[in-house]
Amino acid sequence: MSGEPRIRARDLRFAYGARAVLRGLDVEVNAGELVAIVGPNGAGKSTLLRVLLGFLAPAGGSVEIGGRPLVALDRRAIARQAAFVQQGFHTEFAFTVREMVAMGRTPYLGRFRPEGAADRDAILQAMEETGVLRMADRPFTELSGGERQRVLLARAFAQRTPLLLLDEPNASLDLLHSHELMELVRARVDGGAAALAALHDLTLAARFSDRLVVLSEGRVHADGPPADVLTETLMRDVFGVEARIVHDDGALLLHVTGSSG
Amino acid sequence: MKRALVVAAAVSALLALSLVAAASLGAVDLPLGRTAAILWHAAVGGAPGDWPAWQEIVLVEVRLPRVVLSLVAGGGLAVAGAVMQGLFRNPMADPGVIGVSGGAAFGAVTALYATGAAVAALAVPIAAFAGALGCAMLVYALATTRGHTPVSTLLLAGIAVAGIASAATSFVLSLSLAEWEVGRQMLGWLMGGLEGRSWQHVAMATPIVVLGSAWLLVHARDLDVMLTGEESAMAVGVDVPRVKRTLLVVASLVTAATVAVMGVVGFVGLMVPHIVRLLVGPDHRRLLPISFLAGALFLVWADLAVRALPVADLRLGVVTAMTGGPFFLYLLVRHRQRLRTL
Repeated sequence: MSGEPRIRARDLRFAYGARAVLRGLDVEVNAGELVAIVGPNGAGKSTLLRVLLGFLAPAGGSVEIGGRPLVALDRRAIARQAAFVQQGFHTEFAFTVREMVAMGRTPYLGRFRPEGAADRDAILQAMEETGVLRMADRPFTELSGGERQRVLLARAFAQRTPLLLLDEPNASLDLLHSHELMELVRARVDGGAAALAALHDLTLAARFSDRLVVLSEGRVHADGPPADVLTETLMRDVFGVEARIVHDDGALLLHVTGSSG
Repeated sequence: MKRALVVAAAVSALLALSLVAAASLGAVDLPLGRTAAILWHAAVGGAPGDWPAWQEIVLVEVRLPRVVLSLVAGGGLAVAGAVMQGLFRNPMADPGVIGVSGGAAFGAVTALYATGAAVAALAVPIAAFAGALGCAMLVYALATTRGHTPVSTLLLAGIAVAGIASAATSFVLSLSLAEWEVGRQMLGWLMGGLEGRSWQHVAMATPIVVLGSAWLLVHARDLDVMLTGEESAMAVGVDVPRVKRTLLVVASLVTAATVAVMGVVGFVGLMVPHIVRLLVGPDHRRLLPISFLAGALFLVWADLAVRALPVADLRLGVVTAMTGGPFFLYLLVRHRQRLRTL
């Protein structure tokens, strides 16, 4: 186990009206740790991230970010602790790449205070780190899906938060771009950040994360290193598929042979 | 940024020239030089020149309030339009989208009906202002549940309330058609215009428009982020429900103040921000101030056309739609590709 907890949820509950989505679950992510949330559609992965960020109010339980209760933090304070990368992000307004990345500095800027040297430095570094510097003046609306996702990651990096939350950041990306994106997140985590990513691709999750949190019907079904968590029993119980899992020199190979009916 | 400064400087220079030109032209044309001298004298003081006293009266008491009012109202409408489009993330939103214009029309027509043609000068604008704010608040209340105001619900409620207000306006109008003068005044108000406006009207509208626009400009960064989506804005620390609520209220106030003093004038709030976005991009720190200047410029010229063209009873709202509409379509066809991505 690595450093101190960057985010910690206890007995978290959430419901859309009468439909319970999160039924009391515990999650914790420590500094220097990349944790993947996996689970079938409707397991509550996206909802969990939104409750952790305070976008949705929980029906019960508690969340602590950076050691302080979420309910005691306002939006700006949360945005200085945790950055968020969404999936399928869309805008019709033609901001340039630099303008998009600069939005990551919003929680540090006052209404009358323009960007200072520290802000420009953070923006530049985030663009360099994610390789979008060369497209700084291009309109965001004209980029490819992979480029857009990098720009959004750069925006999150520019926030300079100790914690990153990602909601299926590679949902619309091909293999190469998915891997590049996860490598960037991994590098950030190895530099001391903490990251919690909802991922639908189990192989990718196993390859890049330190821990898998498997959600099923609003509860944590399993939580641990990928090699321990991903078993043929779990594949059947949670995902409803028959699968063979091959451990190959530290990597996990997942071979789905059919639905378990 | 450089481009934005050039555009701002060009529009400002044009606006300053247009103000003098608009003041000098009218039923009696005064030479530009004399107009400038009289305006300078009225503003700064000093010894009067050798112009006849009536020229100064015509200029300062008759034309100037009208020109200033067209400037203030045009700027306010354009800024309110830009903000509505940003808040709704919808390029088709305009200042009337949450029922402000419909409510103002109903308020004005009701005031005219209740008091007859001999209405007190400020009763109509006050009633219009009340109607505008009443409708906007009703729309907002209808669309809000448990602190959340979804954009789509807001748009639908706005359309429905504006439709009801429009029907009520037509009803009051049809009740009044027997009285020719009252009906004529109502129709005139519904088509917008600045005839006979005094410094009193300027004093009514200017503080609200100027303070409101400044307040909206202060929130430019929040608006930028809101354009990228509400969750995206929350993720970088914007208190979205609060910002949305206060920006809607202030943009509605600004719109109500302009509609109250000049009636319903379409196209400024829809068209001007689009043109400015094509020139300087979507960043609100550039978009809002330049939209104010461009909206002012457009309405000063539109009102000048109303006064100077040899067409009896030409209405301001007719001029803005008939010049703005085709120009907007021209831009739309020319920039089809780019507008699609704006």
